[in-house]
Amino acid sequence: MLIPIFFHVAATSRKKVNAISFLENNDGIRITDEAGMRNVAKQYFEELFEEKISTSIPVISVMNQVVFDEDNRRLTAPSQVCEFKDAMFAMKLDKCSGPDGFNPGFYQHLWSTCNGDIYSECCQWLNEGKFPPSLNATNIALIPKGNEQKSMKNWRPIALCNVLYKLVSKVLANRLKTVLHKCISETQLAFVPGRSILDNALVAIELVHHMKTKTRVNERSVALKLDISKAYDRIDWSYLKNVMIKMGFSNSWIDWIMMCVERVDYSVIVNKDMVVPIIPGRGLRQGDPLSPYLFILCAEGLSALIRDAKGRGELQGVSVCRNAPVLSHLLFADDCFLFFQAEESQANVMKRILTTYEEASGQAISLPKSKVYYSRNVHQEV
Amino acid sequence: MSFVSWNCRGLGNLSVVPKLKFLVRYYNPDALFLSETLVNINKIEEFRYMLGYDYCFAPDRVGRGGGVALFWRKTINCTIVNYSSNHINAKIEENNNNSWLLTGFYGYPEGGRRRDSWKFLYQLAGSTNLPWCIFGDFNDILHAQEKKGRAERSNWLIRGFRQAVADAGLVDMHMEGYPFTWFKSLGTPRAVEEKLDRAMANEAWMQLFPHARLENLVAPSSDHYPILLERAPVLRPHRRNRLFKFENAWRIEEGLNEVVQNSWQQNTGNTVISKLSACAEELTHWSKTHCNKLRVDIEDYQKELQRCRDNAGTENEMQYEALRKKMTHLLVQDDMYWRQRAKTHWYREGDVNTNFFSCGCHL
Repeated sequence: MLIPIFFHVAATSRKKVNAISFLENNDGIRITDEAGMRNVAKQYFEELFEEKISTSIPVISVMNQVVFDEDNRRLTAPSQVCEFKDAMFAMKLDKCSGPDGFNPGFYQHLWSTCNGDIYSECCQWLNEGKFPPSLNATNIALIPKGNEQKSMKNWRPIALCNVLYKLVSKVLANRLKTVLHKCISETQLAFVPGRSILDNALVAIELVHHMKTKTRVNERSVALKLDISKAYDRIDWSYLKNVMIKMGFSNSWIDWIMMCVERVDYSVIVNKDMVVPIIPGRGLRQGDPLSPYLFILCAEGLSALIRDAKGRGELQGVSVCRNAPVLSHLLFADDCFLFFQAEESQANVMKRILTTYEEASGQAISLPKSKVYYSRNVHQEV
Repeated sequence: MSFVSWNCRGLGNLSVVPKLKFLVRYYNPDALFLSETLVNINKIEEFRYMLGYDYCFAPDRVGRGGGVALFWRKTINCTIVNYSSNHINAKIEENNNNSWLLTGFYGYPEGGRRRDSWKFLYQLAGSTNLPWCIFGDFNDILHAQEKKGRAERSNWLIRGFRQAVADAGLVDMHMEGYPFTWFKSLGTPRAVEEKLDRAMANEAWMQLFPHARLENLVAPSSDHYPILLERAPVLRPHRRNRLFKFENAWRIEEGLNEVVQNSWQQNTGNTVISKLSACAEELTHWSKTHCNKLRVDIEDYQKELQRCRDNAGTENEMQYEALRKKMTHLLVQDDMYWRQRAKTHWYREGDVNTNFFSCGCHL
């Protein structure tokens, strides 16, 4: 069935929504001319992707080795043609192309012509541990975020990678998926095969309900919902590397991942014009198939810190009834739901944990957007 | 913000209306200064309406000749300061609280009143200390080279005008385009061309608008060309070349596979990256002759189909069938083209265009 009108309208209205008519710069001054807006965008991204000094040791020290030789052998085994084929055909036809202009539709249609070359060359890149320079060039498209677009913060940067890069990255991501359940604690429910956000939601509702109805005086609890701003864009590379080392990933695997993450240059598209290359010093790309998995590896640091504090008795979670497991945190990618007892010492411990995690991973928790909820029997405290 | 000055040689003739309209539509000046209007104020008001300006001003004319008029839009904050039958002084206030003086000038045309014209210019300069820009028809030239053909203008006239300009503290602005703004008897041995129209500004104005730009335009009537002054031209950013993008609609076009295969084979031994860029070049070239104007083609085929059906005959039947096939092909391609842009990945082939879809579009 042909419905060109529908597509036409959808395409036209999308164009309208995605057009940037003005941007506010750091001083809150409204900039409307194209050249000025490009400057604002450039400045913003250079600041955002600038490398910051991080101290990952406190976080790393509480993590455990979870990946062992057998998994590593599987992760770094020679790749098969079918892996590449599966990865390629899992991509949607109409997905946007990267700077080279070839979309998945091209590769899928002409797979028989070019699969041999692509396969052998991809294997070669992986063996050498080096990508050709132009492969990892990435366009950044800006997508509106929220109801009102004022400054650069209200535009979500989506990375448009070359499909050929995405192919390699997807093959790696598919391999990573198979060991994910071992690395990621049960409280993280995003992106791990076999886990669902619904479980998280149910548990969270149950806990909050419990907190609402509870009246016993000696059990007071607090729920804290954290908002992490620009979670992907701020991930520190050395932190990611250290986390993977500590988890026990083999060197060659880590080299592959870092080669995907680090050798990037961005061009931001502002109303059809390009803002010249921006070389990032941190951050994962929203649009790279690997990013979600790498992100939850990083978020695992927070889980480990909380687990450690719980083990030493500094933190106590919340339990629904006597025999139920004691819960201290729930994670869904960058959304975090923390539970602890409403005591000053515990609040301080939690604060310390968050600062440690922030310093290690480069993440920034935006307090104005975070929410706190006290159980009913908690009186007004600090 | 842009301004046009034009010696239009009379607005009385109705044929000038479409020409002025075109000028305004094409260059879209925020203010328009006309000299030698040869009409009265009520006529000017008519022109204001026809040209789509919000305000106009024209001093009363002395005698039958001359006449100046200024039209402007409400997009500029403009107030008339003073005027005579040979000039209009308007104060323009910028958004950033800067204000400056714009003078539309019409130098006395009579050869015998040159000195009066210079004196007048000097008086104008003394009457303001604002950043000042003056443009219009000066009926004077600054260099011997500003006249071509017939006898050279006498030296004292050029020197006199130069002195007046210097005394007034004005600097001549560089004019882009054709070097002369007035002509007579073109195509004859007595042909003459001169740069009688110009724009000049004082130091303060130049500092205020360092990128200001003056251009010589063309017009289908009058013996003067209009000149366009842009006080802060929008610098056109460097547009990126149309980058190559693979169209999914090409996938069902005949010959695509061959093009890619050929280019792939020609580059055997190269890296995949260089093969791809060679392929992109080939495809760009190829696409210029294939499915590049789907909408037009579809319309053509629609008409062709109709004609074919109306002249029904046995020999037409085969052709009719072929046309229908081609038409279907084009429609599918059109569908693919828009689908690639619509980014509605949840839509699957075979879905029906129900109300649900049209609801989705209006969101």
